[in-house]
Amino acid sequence: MNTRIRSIVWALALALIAVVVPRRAFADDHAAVPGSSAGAPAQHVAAGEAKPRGAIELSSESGGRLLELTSEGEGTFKGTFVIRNVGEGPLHIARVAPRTSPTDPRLPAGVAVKFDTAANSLEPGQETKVEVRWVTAGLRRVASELYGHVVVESDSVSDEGAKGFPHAIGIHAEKHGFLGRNILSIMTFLPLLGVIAIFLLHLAGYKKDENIRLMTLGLMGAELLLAVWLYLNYDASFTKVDGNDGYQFIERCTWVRSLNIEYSLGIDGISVSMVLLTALISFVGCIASFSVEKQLKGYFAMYNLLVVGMFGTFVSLDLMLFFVFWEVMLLPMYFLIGIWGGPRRQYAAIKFFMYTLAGSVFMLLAFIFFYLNADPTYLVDGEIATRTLSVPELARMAWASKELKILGVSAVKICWVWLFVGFAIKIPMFPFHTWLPDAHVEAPTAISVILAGVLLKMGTYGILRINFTLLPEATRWAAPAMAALGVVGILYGAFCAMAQNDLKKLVAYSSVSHMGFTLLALGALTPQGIEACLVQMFNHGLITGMLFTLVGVVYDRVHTRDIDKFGGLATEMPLYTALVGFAFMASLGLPGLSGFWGEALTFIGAFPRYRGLTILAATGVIVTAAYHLWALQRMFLGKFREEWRTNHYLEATGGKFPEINRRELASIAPLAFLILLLGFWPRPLLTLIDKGATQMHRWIDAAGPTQVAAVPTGGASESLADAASRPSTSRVASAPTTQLSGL
Amino acid sequence: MPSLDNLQSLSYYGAELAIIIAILAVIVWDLIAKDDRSKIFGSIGLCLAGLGFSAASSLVALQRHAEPKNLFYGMLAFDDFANTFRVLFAFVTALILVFAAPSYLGERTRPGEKKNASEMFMLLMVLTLGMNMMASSRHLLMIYLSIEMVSIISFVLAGFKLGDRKSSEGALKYVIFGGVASGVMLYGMSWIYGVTHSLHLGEISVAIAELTKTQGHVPEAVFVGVVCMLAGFGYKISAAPFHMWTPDVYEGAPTPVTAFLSVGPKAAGLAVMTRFFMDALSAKGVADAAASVDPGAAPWAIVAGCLAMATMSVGNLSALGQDNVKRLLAYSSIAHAGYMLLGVSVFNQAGVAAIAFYVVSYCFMNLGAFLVVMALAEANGGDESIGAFRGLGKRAPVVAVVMTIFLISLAGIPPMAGFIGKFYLFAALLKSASMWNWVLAVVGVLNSVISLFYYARIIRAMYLEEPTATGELGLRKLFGAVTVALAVPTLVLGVYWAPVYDFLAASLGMIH
Repeated sequence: MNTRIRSIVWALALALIAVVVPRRAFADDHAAVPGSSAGAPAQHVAAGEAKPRGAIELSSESGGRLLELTSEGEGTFKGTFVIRNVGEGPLHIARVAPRTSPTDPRLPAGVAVKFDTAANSLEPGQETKVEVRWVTAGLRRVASELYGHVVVESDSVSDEGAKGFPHAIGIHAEKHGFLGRNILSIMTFLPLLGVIAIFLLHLAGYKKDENIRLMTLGLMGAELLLAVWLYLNYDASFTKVDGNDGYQFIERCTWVRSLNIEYSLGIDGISVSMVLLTALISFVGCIASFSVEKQLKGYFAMYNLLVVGMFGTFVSLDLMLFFVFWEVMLLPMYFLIGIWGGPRRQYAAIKFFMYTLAGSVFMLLAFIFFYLNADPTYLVDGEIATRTLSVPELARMAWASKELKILGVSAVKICWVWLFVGFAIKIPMFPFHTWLPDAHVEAPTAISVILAGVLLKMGTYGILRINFTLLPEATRWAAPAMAALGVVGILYGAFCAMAQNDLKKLVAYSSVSHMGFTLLALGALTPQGIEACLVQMFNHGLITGMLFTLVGVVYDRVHTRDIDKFGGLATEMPLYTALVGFAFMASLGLPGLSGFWGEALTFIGAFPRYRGLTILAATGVIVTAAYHLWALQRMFLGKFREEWRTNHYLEATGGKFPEINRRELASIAPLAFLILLLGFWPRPLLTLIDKGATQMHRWIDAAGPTQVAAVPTGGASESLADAASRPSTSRVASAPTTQLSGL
Repeated sequence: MPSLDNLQSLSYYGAELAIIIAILAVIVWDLIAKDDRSKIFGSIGLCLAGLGFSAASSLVALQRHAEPKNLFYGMLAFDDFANTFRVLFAFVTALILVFAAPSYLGERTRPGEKKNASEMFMLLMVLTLGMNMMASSRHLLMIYLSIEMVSIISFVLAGFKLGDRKSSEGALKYVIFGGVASGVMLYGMSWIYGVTHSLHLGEISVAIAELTKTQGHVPEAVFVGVVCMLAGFGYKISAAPFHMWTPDVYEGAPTPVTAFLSVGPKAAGLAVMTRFFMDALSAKGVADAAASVDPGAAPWAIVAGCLAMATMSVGNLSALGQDNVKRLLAYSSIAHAGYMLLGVSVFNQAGVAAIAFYVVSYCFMNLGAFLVVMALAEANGGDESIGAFRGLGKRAPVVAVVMTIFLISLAGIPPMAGFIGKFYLFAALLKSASMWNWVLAVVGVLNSVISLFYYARIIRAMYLEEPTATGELGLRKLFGAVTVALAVPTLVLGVYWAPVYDFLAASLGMIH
């Protein structure tokens, strides 16, 4: 023991020497440092030998890099920033202007800059102030927040890599309160609290797992309330022409400065319905999860993590962030299927994992391509970013007219295909759909609900958000293929569903079929088509969620889903039968229930463009009706099979099928209510997504050349701020919007 | 850049001198210490002190961006690049020492092993010295000597389990492959010497640039020489087709040694290879020649790219069928060498920065994975098969979570450090978007998908399969603590890596 202490003392003493001595050893080097750093200014002088030039530095009056505009009352916001000359020569400021233009209003209306033109020449060390005002009073449509830049053109020495790109300062104003500022972050990371809490409870040896169920339910309930708040406060009529790129509830800050990656969240007409759907389905899924019996802590930790990934994917506006959230979903899903699933769960889990990852790595390559070839732009605080991963900024860049090549083929086409395959696997599109039936059959009920209700939508969402937004030319090039594959999916899925004996597999294949409609709708590129896609995504989430919950009900009773083993269940479980019938009718698109709108709009949207394909797709509806009705008939009608009376799973109830219970009812009631409501009155949903769809349509299907044409001609008379603020395209038209919600 | 003479050089050689002093002190301590316990604690203390000094002095030099120097008449370089790797090597060695120590204490030790404890620590220190010299060598002779120094000690360490057939077999294979590889490398060096009349990388660079200018292409003799030298480098980083020894050695060697070999010498090999490629083969620093030689015309990118592709694919495809986790991780480490070679093949500073970041993140995740295997084997009576991981999620939940973090980081899935490392590598690769680089990138991402399959097998065993035995698994507290300590940076570097990357990118300046 003694020797041990002695050796420890020795080690400590030596370690002390280790820390102290080197500081002395390099003391002489320290003296050499000024000499080596003196090299830098010398170089600087050499570069500007002809004539010393000024260097510009912008900061807000309070010192920060981002200028926060503060409220002055009556809808007026004001802030002041300072232009400082930190160079060695005089600095001439040519122009100070908000970065906006009539064709591409990056800023909401009403922003003005007050710059004293008399003070446009700054000596070294001198500074001048500029006032920025945002007056919203009297405007037709008022944004609740403002993110943008004020560009300062000068003859300053410019940063490396951003040749001639003017300096700018970021401006930000916010009308929202705390909740409105942070709602998307709160919604995304609230379930993470659940994960951490469960981990801590585990470490503390907490045993009452039922309470973890209730805690998760509480979190999901809070999410649902936040979603309702979001729905009430979301301005459905706000579009790109109103500024902020049409996004609302934006949150932006720099995440990794050296890579120009931003933490940037926001929602628009494309994503808002998906966020609401996610909140609803995760709540319903949580109730359905109450039937899970084993390892509750692990289950709910994974469930919460999955919800984090789902929200994150729908709200992120930076490709890196998007990719991270996209992959964050993978692992929880793998475990949820693999641990709590059916007999072939391991196979199904790894298949799901491998398929999705294979798609996403090519997605990553495409992202890196965008990143490396992006035009310069600004980070949120106005720092010049020579590369970027921001979706709205990348969308402005004229990718097609760059005429880049990958492996000898047009880069936009290759990237489009890479991205599309990544998303198509998730949808899942024929022929990448084979993981879906396996995953569904093996997954526990709640996870099937989540999978069908939300995860599949990420594929279509990704296509709209990334393929459509970033690569409109390539999208037009590929649209017919997309529509054709959609129709193949509709028919193939429907016929496969008809051949199934397992009820869950039937529902899974019906998903393949129904998601085929979204692809056909997207391929049409008409406003009705894009709207149809969004409607179908939302409604399919509701209907399939309900269907899987109902399948789970009967499976929990007798541990089988074989359609042929049942018969005459209507006499045993009348309420359940009615609900299944209701869900089936919604699924086959009966008018009056919500499933109808998606399909009807798809046909309206696609028919003008693809007559043959639409007619083929319509025959799919007949097959859909056939397999639903046939399954209904085999399971619920006819004579009840007496052998069930002696089934050992039914011993507790004396051989009778117990009717659907209250918890199960609670988990499907909200879905059933919405299916019925949106069936008769789709207007709330349609108004929500209407603007997003028409805007996307204009973006994608604008007549004539778009991105290819308008490369700035950059004449001497043209100011740099214009070049920086104007998009290289004039895709944001200001034609009167087509009103679709009257349907 | 002036070369310093031997005496002047010593003041910049403190990092290595500290290690040398520690080595000598350990030998003496081993002779004078009375009982085993004090022997082990004393030697570890001495080693850590030496490593601490080495790392601290290099860090100070890095922070001050000490002016690069040619030491010992140009044999070794003192620059940011070498210092960065010195810090890394000291860190890895210290970690392995701490981790290896408990297995020499207490009742779980097999008889006969304890005696060798301080011998093993001493050898590890010598290995570290060799790696430091590899990272700083600027002379073909020093490159050869330092590589041999690392190799010979590695042979001894690989066969350290006396009387163990697998260990001996691995060591013998290692010796034979090592002999052949270094012979070929020496042959290649003689070609280069014959063409350029110099062994100093800076002079070689000038000579090659001039020859290239006069002949209009890279001389064939240089090409042959470099390809032969790649055998030596490739052997050190276990790149295909020089990787054959890896699985046997990794399986046979004691696990701490395996963990060390999979990180330390591999990083050192990459360092010396990067320096050779950047220093001797790039025409930078030769101002007039630089303009006339088109770097695109040089065949090195293709050579390194082919090596990278072969290494990734061989490593990943062979790992698919493995049942022994140590062997599986051996193949996975081959595959990772392949990813890092992608960074070499781009031939610029972005590539070097990407390699450095990848090495750092790889060091955390790979060491972590090996340490979990080691901890588990110890608790399971030496079982290193995938079966030993069955039901770990229930029996040792924290270790299982930590292992999952390491594995998905190795697979390159966000939000883990491994993903960021791969992102930088691919971004560096695609920055110069030639057709060849896109091919490499596509092969690279396909390999990531393949790799997930075998990493997921371990995850599956841990969580999805039922345990063969029940009850808590008795793991040492120290093992748990160290693995968690490695998992934290693996996770943190995946979410907020900017400071580390910026620091690394700023401290890779190489002397030219």
